[in-house]
Amino acid sequence: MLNLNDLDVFYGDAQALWGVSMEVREGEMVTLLGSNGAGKTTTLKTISGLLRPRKGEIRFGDVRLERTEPFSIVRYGIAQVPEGRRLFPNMTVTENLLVGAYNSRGWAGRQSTLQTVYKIFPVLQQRKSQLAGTLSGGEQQMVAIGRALMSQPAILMLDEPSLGLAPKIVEMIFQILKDIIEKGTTILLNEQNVQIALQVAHRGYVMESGRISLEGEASALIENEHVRKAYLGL
Amino acid sequence: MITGKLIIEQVFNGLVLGCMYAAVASGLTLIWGTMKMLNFAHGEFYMLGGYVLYFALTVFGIPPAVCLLLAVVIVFVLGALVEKIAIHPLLDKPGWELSPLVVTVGISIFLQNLALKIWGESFKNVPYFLDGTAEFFGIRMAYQRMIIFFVTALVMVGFWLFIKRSKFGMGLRATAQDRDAATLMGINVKKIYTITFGISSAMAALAAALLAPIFSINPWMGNAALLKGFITVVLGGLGSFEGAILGGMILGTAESISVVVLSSEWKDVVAFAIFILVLIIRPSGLFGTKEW
Repeated sequence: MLNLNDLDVFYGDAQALWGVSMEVREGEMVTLLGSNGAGKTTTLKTISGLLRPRKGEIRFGDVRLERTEPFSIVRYGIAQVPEGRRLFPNMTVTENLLVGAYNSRGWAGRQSTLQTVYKIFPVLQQRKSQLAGTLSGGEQQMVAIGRALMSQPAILMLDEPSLGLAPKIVEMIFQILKDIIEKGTTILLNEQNVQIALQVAHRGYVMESGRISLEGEASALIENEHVRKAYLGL
Repeated sequence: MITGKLIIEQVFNGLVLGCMYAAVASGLTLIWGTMKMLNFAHGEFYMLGGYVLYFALTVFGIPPAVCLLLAVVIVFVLGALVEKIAIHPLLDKPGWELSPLVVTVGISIFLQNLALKIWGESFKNVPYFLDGTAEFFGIRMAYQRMIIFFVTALVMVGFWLFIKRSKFGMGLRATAQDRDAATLMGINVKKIYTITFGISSAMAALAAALLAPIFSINPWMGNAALLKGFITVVLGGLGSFEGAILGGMILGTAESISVVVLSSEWKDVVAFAIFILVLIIRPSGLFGTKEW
């Protein structure tokens, strides 16, 4: 479904990704693991077009994403929940969600998708006229996920959705991600919380200093000696 | 003799002047809010609006209402074109953050001298759209000034609704608040910039076209408008639409009252004194720096 092939990405002259290749298959949840600065966010930003690779290709079905205008990538069915949520702070919850449908994929069906999102996150319906900047961290994360769902994506990419949230909220969000997969949306997840990510995901890639160092089934990675030592503290 | 009647008349004249400041300033604040840049060529789009009206009205004899519309539409297109040709290529170049601002200075110089070359340095005068004055309880108001006031007010309200309610307005606000996130949602940020620049230029043109019968038209008329526009924007709070409106009204009224209380040489002194005072007390302007 989504194939990254030998990507080199730079920030100015500094190379951030080195020959990154990975694959996301339809209906699965793939997690990209690694510590801060390993290149996970860079990888997602390159897929969504905010960064351009200097070398390599990104295929989504027949579409070459690295040659597609960044704003039109969402139209093909790739939605991103960016790191730090990046809501529109002076817009209401409803407005934030509607902006998520600001593309030919989501606009026509926006009202019914909005109801679906409110069903997934009932608390957002209670807060719908509140400015997004005034919400709690957990609620903001829900808006960020809901906003991405508004484009009715084929692949949902999440960048550190657990960052800075209470364990209870994290648990709830991962439960919702499970439900989203069951309804047929594919997920690509960046996560520092390796423990919870490997419990939920089907497969995983481990990134270290801008390279993929390990890949495999989640059940195999959880048993892997290096993963256990470096990321699970076992 | 300073009478209450005279003061009321001057307050109304001040509000009319304030409308012009508000229209010019809201264009500047719109560009600041969305594109995070200052536009030093704003005054020249104001000037072009004046010239479009002059030619349409006095040379081609088109009815005033159509002339206003022409000024707005033509300058919108010019503004959008200038953005596309001169500013667009300079955006998103690391280390070039100041270049869009500098290029607007260049555009300003270019347009001013182009106007001078084509239309010459003679001042052009435009007749009133509607002669005569209305009288309410002994207070006299020129129809022309009433037209300025009501048209600007109507356009401002319309613009406000457009920003708050339309799909484009939603995209514009999202872009202003978080550009990258807006791109991720499928908003074509560059297209928003081009249209924003056009709208901003069109608002300046509208102000100039409405005021043309009161002030005369010349290649340098944009200088004063730009300066007052910047003062209004900073007074109200950079990026704030409400601030631009209120700032414009305060400056306009203060200036026009100072004309009768002191004398007309003092009006700029009073305007700048208010400006400096507000900055001392509230450095971020009346409404503070705000996002759309």
